[in-house]
Amino acid sequence: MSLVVNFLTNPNTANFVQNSSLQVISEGCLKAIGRPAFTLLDKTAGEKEKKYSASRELIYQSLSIFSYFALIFPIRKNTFRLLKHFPQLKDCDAVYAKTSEEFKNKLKTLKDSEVKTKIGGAQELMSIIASGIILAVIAPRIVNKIIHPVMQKLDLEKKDEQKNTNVDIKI
Amino acid sequence: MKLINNTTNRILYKLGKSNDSEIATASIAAFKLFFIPMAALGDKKSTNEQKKYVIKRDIITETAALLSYIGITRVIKNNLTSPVCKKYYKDKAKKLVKNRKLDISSDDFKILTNIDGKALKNYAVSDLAQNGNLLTKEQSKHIKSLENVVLKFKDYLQSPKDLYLNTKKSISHICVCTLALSLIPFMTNKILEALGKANALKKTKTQETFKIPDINEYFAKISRKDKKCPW
Repeated sequence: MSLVVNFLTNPNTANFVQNSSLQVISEGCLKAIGRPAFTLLDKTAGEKEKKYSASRELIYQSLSIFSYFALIFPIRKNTFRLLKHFPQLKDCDAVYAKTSEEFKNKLKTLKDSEVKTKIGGAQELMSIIASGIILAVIAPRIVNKIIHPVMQKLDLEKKDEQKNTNVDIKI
Repeated sequence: MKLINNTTNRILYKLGKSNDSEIATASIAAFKLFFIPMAALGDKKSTNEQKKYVIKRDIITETAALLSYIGITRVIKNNLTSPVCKKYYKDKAKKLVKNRKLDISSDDFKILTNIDGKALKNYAVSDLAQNGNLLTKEQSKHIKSLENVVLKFKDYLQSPKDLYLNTKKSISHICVCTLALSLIPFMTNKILEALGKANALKKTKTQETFKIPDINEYFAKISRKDKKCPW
């Protein structure tokens, strides 16, 4: 019990959790395990549908984690460039910084803790919006393109199993 | 315009002060609820059955995720944070007594072992929501005395506000992870099962209403009638 309490009350745990990118990554890793496994356990669907859905989910979650490392962290680093567009932060000098180092230094010297909190909040908000666009709009489109070749390579689907729209029926 | 400004102000402050996991994950689930089924529709190489199943599953999963991230996580963190914080101060007080390196008076020990959970919550929440003071006179007295004890053992104890917010964030994240790993996909399976059963019931009912009469039975009825017939 005290181990659990120690873990939950540890400031390091909270610092890790405060970052929305890390939140989404850890959630994504767990989803990559849980969702395909439960899809395969579903008794209501046929084998082909289950295999397709599970592999789609697995590819999507893996791609999400990869795109997070590739895109979200660089985007997050540059969110300070957009801070000046928030009317709440217009009066703050730090938001007009030209490089990330200058921004960090100015943020360190900032005395108003409320503005500091709002700057952090604005960065989190932009990070959430970027994550939403990457995970919900871009990643599923890429999945559409790679799912069938991947399934064929893993022997989960045969080439002729794909949708046959032009079936000739000869009598 | 003022309303939008105020709301943005609050959102920025809330996200900066305490960015709980369910905020990011629930907003992304909302994005996914709309865009992922749309993307599944765009897969030209999959069969209609595969598309139908994936779309059904995605809609159910993301709806369950959105609702449970907001609902379940909130309920759990609101009810569990104060007891965990209370346990933290109790454990620390006992360790302080055991250690003997730091002198702890009996009054300090009493304060640390009898924390008012509601007071702790109100103290942290009032600061978080910029609502001003939510504490009653007794509660603020209690918090002040707790803060004094914390000041005495500064290197050993976390301040009540920091402790409450840190614990809340951690609980929220663990809750989100548990939901993501097992509960949400399990719920999706159960919902799909229930939907399947409901559909099967509907089908049997419609088949019953449009049942084609059995010819043999029909003739048997007629012959029975014939037997009863006096002529």
